[in-house]
Amino acid sequence: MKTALIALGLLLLQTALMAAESGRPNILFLFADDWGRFAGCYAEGKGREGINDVVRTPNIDRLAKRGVLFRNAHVNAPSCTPCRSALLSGQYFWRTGRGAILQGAVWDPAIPSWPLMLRGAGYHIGKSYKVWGPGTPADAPYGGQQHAFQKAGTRINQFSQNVAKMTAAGQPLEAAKEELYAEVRSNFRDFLAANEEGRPFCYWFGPTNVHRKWIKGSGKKLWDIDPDSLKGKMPPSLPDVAEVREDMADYLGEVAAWDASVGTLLDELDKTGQRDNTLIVISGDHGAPGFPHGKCNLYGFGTNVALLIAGPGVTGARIVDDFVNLTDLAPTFLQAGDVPVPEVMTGRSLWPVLKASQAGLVDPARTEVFTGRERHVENARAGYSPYPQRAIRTADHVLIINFRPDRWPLGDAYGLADGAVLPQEGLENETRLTHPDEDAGPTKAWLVKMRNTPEWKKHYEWVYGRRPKYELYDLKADPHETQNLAEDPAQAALKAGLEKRLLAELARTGDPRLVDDGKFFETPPLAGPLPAAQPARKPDNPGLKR
Amino acid sequence: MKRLSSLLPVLAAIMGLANPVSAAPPNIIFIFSDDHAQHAISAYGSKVNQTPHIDRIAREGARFTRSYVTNSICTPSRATLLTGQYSHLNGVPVFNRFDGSRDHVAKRLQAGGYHTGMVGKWHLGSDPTGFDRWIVLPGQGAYHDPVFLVPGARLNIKGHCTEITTELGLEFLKTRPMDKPFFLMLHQKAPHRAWEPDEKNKALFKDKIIPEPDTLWDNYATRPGALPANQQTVARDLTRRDLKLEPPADLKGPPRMQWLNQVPMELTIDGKTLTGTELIKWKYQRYMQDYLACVQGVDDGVGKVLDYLESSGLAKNTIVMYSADNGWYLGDLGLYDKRFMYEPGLNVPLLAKGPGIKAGHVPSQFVANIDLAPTFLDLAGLPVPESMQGRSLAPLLRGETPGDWRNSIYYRYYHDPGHHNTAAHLGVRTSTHKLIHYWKQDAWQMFDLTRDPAEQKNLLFGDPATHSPEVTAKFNELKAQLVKLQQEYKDDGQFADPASWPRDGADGPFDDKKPTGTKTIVEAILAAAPR
Repeated sequence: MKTALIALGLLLLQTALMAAESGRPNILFLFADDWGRFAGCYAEGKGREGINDVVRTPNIDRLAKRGVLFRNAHVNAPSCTPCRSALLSGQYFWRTGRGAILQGAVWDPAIPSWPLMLRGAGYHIGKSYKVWGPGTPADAPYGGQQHAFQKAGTRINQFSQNVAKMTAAGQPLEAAKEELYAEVRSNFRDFLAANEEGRPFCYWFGPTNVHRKWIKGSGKKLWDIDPDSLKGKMPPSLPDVAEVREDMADYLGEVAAWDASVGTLLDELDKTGQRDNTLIVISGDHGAPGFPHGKCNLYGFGTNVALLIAGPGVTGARIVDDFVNLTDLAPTFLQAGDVPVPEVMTGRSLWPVLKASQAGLVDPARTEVFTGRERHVENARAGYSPYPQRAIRTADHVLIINFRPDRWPLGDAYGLADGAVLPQEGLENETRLTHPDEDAGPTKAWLVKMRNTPEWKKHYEWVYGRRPKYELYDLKADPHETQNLAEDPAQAALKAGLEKRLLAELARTGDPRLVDDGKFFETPPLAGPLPAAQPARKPDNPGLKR
Repeated sequence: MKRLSSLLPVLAAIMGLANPVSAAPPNIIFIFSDDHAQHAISAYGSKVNQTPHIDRIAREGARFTRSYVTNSICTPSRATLLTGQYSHLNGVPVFNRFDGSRDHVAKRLQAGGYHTGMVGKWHLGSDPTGFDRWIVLPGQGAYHDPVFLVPGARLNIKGHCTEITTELGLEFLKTRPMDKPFFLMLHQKAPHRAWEPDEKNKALFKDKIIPEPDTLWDNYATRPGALPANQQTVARDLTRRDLKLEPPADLKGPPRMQWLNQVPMELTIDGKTLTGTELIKWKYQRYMQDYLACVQGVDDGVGKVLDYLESSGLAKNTIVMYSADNGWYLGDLGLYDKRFMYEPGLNVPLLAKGPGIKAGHVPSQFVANIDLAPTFLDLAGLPVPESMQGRSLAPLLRGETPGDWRNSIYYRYYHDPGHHNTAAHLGVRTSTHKLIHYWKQDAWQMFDLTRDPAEQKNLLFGDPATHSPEVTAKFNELKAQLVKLQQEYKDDGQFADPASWPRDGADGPFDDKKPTGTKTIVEAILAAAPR
């Protein structure tokens, strides 16, 4: 009898523990490479047609209906590694030492990252594909490859290439696609199966297929996305010509593949019965690659990304206008896992917004976001120098400071002197040929080729040429940021006010760009030829001034 | 008239080779392979293989038909490549370490504004100097999953060495400072012994029947001494390792090595026991299949580089040169390996294409590896120092025929005692004749190359009293020419005595390089920059 009671007691205790454990949600983080804010759920309806009227993302759209859809989510830096350094650390990228650049990045293990903190708090963590990179060691803030689950295959990362290969070998199109989704599914299953102790899990799904390159014509061929349906719908920085429309349709094809793989994982999650206890977050690391004003630009087309959140404790079916920096996800995840948020994190938890019930602007303090950029491709400019920029963005305005307006924003015009002709094949495939901060592709190739024609000369200079130190755009009147008002005397007070707010935030968060004329970012190892990988070094600890 | 002709070189130097269209100094890529015979290139009329990509260089540029080395082994040849000097002046007569503090072409190009890179086989013992980035094999290096040395460290890269070396070269190009001209030495290990091709090319040659050379069965008649005593014959000196024979599974450690190092004189292949002539024929096929498969890998790599230059637009201002560190015997004279100054060992491929170089041009002047360093400097618009003994090939590349060009070549091989028991020798080759002196035996050989290009009939064989007056006269003429060349090139026998050879070797140890684990191509090129 006594033993039975003890046994019952133990059973009750165990049940209580399990209940407590089930109080901490799983985290399913679906993060696409180079995916801007392109999903059907972002379509704005009649009169405001855009790319989102063409893109097809049924799975993501379905999740948007039961979650929170953020319209004003921005990356901190529109370049893979610094974006991810900020996202993983919960700190502005300029506080992550050598994680602040792309080529030559080195992760400093002293920086707390939320996945490793969740792991420390008992989470079963795992990832498939890209988490943090390019940089050394790859995926370091996620524990390197020790939590990688990708044995079933990585072919999703070259989606159109692999599907084209399979269909060329005679496989039916849908079967070929299914074969790639099956790899995604198996990797996730392997991850779940490895969770022997029933711990809450955290899974990062980071396929890279939306990143260039992709197969020309694959948008139409694999997804039946008609390039002509983009006519009149692309932002003005993209020439509305057949070559560019096809390129964009191909990009949207990869987005459709991304959506399908998201659907695969959400179905799989449903099968485990864990859906109601899983926080699902979907986003991307910056705007469209190799499309003017996208990736590597602080314009909205470069930093604005999709963000959807659904799960336990989230009041769903809302569209929210609060400004979000992806650094905000770190404290959000940590709080979900009952882990204290380190003081050094500059991101702010989204839980107050997620739990609220109203739509539109929820938190009246969330009206601005700060973005920036240092170096992307290391040899983009003579002297391996960065293109330093910082910006403050509100619902009405964006102010961009280009600290070195003498430099070329997308990299030097290598090989283009005196009307020189670069081979089409190289322009489409070799990013570093010219303007190396703009990814190679048909769009870049077309614009470079047309750069001296009377019709496109100005356009080319607008998107790839040097920019003034200050850029100010009125987002209500000019949502695509085409008219720089920075030198308009009527805007002087506005500009001064925004600049003050921007510089105050940079100073508060210890941005080395403001110290010694940006020496930290202008000297090796952050500038100059890439050094061999060596132990990480941070600038003198940029403490938070709160 | 005389005054005018003496002015011509000056004018040429002022004009430079660099094309008149663009003032920008040209980029230079020098692709170097190890042991690639001239007659294993289809542009040179190979009877044993096709090299479509190296042929592209010949078609779009110049192919030198009389291109020689001055000391036909790896390490000395590489020292000559850098210094433009004969072994007796650059201090590398044998497999000894090159003194990196010496003046050489990469240092001068670097100082002249070039971004300089060295990728692949180096085999000079010391750390490369004069390079902005370098990543080299330790000593000979390995074909599979090779170790590479970089400033201060060593690292491993998974894969086949030939492909890796090409990829490292391409990564170097992609990550260079784009506002500077570049000089890249892309040095393949292949097709060096023990001829271990990648799987793709291995399969391509697995069942090929390679034609035998006419002199595979050479009995060395009229050439006693060095040739009969040599240990680099197809018949007697290919080991089980060379022939890719599989040791018994239970053999481990030193006994396994011993087994592999033995020369089989009887073999059972597909149930048939081979000995004598049949076995030699089989050995020749086995050796050549792997050798040519390795060459194919090198040619594939040349193709990749040329494709990249085309697609990147770099081709129009980039000079691509191809050569090899020494000659090679494809069973000729019954041999494999190099060393001997008979034609297959003395000749090397030399091809170049790029701005200012005449397409389809076939210069026939006597050129040698001492000319390469001066050529690079001249192409870059930099002065050639007096200390370099070679002469810029730029005028020849332009299609000019300078009246005062050399019409013979001086050769000297020291490594005796050394590998393969090849006797030390020196000699001269003219457009019609060759005189070889095995100086330690004081044995002479002379060939009339116009009548006897395969060097089968030594005109000095037998009692001198029986020699024709023409032969005696030619002998005396060539001996005098040898003395003249030795004076001209300042060879006073500095390294004739093995006791005078510098001691430190070219094969390590490289203990100062700490292991840093397996790296990708990208990571490896990152590590190639000095810290």
